[in-house]
Amino acid sequence: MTTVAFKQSLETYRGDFTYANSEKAIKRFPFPYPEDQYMYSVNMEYHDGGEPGSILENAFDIDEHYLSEMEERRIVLEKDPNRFATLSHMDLHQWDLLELLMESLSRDYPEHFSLTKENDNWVWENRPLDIKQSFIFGDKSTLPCEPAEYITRQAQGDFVLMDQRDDDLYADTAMITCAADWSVQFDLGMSFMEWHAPVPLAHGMGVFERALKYLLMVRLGQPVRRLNWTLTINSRMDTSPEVYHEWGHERASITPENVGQKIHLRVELQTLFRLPRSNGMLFGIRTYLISMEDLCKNPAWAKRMHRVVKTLHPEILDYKGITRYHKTLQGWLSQFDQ
Amino acid sequence: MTEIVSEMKSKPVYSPLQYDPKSRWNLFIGEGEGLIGLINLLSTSESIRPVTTNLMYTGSDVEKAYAQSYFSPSRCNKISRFENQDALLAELPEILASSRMGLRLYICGLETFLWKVAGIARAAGMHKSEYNMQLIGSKARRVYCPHCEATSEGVTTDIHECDGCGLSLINCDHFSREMGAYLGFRVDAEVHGEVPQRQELYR
Amino acid sequence: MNTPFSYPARVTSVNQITPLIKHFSFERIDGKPFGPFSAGSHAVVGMREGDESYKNPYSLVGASNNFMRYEMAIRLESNGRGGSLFMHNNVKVGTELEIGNPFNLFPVYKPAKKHLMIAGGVGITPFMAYIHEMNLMNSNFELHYSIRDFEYGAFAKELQSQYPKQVKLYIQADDVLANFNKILNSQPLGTHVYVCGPHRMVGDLLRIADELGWPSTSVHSEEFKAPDPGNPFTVTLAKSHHEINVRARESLLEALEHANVEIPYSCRGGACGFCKTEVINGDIDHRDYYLTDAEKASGKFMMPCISRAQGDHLTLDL
Repeated sequence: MTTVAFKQSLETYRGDFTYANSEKAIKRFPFPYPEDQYMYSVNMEYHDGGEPGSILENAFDIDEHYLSEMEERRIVLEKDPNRFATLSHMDLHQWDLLELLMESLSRDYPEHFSLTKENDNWVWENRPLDIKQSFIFGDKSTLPCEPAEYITRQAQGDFVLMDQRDDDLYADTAMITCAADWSVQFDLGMSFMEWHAPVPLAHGMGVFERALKYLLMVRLGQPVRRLNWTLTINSRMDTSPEVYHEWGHERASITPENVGQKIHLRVELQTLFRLPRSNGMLFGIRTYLISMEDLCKNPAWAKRMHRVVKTLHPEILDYKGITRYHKTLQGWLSQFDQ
Repeated sequence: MTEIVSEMKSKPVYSPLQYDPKSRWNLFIGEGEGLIGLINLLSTSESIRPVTTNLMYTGSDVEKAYAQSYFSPSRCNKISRFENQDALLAELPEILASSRMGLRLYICGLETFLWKVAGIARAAGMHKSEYNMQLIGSKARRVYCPHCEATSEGVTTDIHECDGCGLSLINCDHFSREMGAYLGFRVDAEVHGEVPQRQELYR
Repeated sequence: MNTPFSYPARVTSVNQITPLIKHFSFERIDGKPFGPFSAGSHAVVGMREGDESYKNPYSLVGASNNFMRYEMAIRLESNGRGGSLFMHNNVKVGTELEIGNPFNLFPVYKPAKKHLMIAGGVGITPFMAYIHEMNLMNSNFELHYSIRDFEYGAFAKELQSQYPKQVKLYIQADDVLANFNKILNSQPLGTHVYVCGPHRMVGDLLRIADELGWPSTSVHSEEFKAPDPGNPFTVTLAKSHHEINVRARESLLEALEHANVEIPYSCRGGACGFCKTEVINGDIDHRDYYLTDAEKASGKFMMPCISRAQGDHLTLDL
């Protein structure tokens, strides 16, 4: 059971970028590098709790940015409703997701969320967003929109529902408003290998083959997790291809003076849950942003960040869009690694 | 299966059509030069039992002559020639709706045609192991623009202007089977106006 | 890879529904609901009395909407290794045992246009959960169910009366046999066929489907195979330096468990891959359906739930 206080005035992830991390948020930030050099791996472990107060403590992490992030999601969907998409055979998966999120949030943050059930008559309360919804579990007509869209508009991070069939996983439903550069419209319905196609190097290493085999055997009640990372300019959540033509130029705006404020480390906590009724999988992508300035307040992190950036494989630099400002960033980080 | 995995795991790579000896009904579907691929398949496929084969195609009078000569009554049950692609694609769902398990599709032609047929097959519940495809002719691409959600047809260069929004897009090999299209994105997003020389790669 | 966790559970009802089949209901001892499961899932029942202990997987029947309990319909196998005999003779209302976390090796294929279920005898069990899912999703389905007669056909009467259009019964006693050729020959595109029942029936269906040009991706089967006995052999565990004897009528997995060596498992019949173990030394008698030919040939891996030593000794990387 966790208590969390939300920032009362909404931060922005676009335009004036007022987003900022409190000291507490900086401390709990998921620093993703176990070594001074980074390479892809199938770095999965069980998702079964963590240090109290950490991002790993609960099934789905809610933090001080909750209200701001939900507003950001609302803005993205208003401009582009297609950021939520689903195929028609995914109803069971959607209800599984709704149940999982409602049960987790009400269990872990009872101060903010509650769920009462009387057979299929459910009442969901989300006090921060001032929502009280009575509905019939399993009956879409009793919710204002698709079940997965309904609940993911109230949870931080992106969500992909995967159908498991043909010894493979298919991304058949998705709510994607904070994509690290992939398009939900384009990738909807793709198999595991297909949607991972653009990732360099990892295929040759067999990373995805092993990952898929592992994921096909994830059991009910035994979810797994891993961390993924990239860099983003400004605290921009929506770095999707859909709006790349608008934000791409920010990569060329980096100077030695503004590295600290502008360049952000973007870490995804990826969680994978077996879904009970559909036998599908949930792929949760919870995104955390921190400026280089804030990150480097931690000397150990600053040193390691420098070493990782210095030794990144050129194909990874290219794929993560870092190439253009790589030298400037490395130069700035070197001050922490004398 | 005609798909082999290439550098970009989502990029389709085509090889000559292969006959499935387990097939009970064959539907050969071709457009334009694609008829050649179907004729080659017909001449190499040995049936171990009588199999019903039907042909649907669009094409010129030359193609019609080929079709009638190769797909003779002894090899083929029914030939349907269509005015154009749209007419063929409009008829296909009905044919599939009254078809039974054991059917195989052999599809040959340009890339967007192949995937339009595949899309109809999938909508009818067919799995990719039930249809085979081969690209014959131009490798020109359909490109999807995520910025305006439009698709541009017949793109032969790595960089082109989007038919929808006019931005200069570079297309990569990441391919969507559902759309039959490659993913494009603004080539000068990082520095507006910095558009490299385009190369013709997909003729 | 992880060992499934199991719930301490109690039997809350036992009903003889046919001369050979008992229907069991289980609830968790801690009083919490079991929770929903996907149609086609199995769970492993762990039973123990004195020296006897068994771990058998069974399909979960019952509406997957009822969360308080799990239900299973278990057939008495006279030629079995004792698990079903134990269930029938020793397990009563109030008996405490362990129920494992469900896993699904036989799920419904969601995008199918039509679901064609072929059941024989106790093979009806996963389809009882399937039908619930069919109703929830408003799916197009048919069930062809072969039984000896109504007395021996679990759930047959209910199925026929509830779903007169979709359910066809084939009663052996009346000399009415399911004609797989006829059933499979007339199905529209997008039909998926699921078969569960006696070994020969499943084999026949698979063969006929293949002959009729059904792609293997549209054909799904489940058989609960129990491991066959073999020669006794010994096993050295390289990491812990244990020596274990595997008796003729027990599997290597069971021998490990009796020696308190826990390894992951699920189906206990060579199909799911959970118990895959590395072999350091010794010739393997592969009897599973999971490893690739290359993996089998390499001699580096085996599935202890069903495979054995070719000779009299193996060294495992445990």
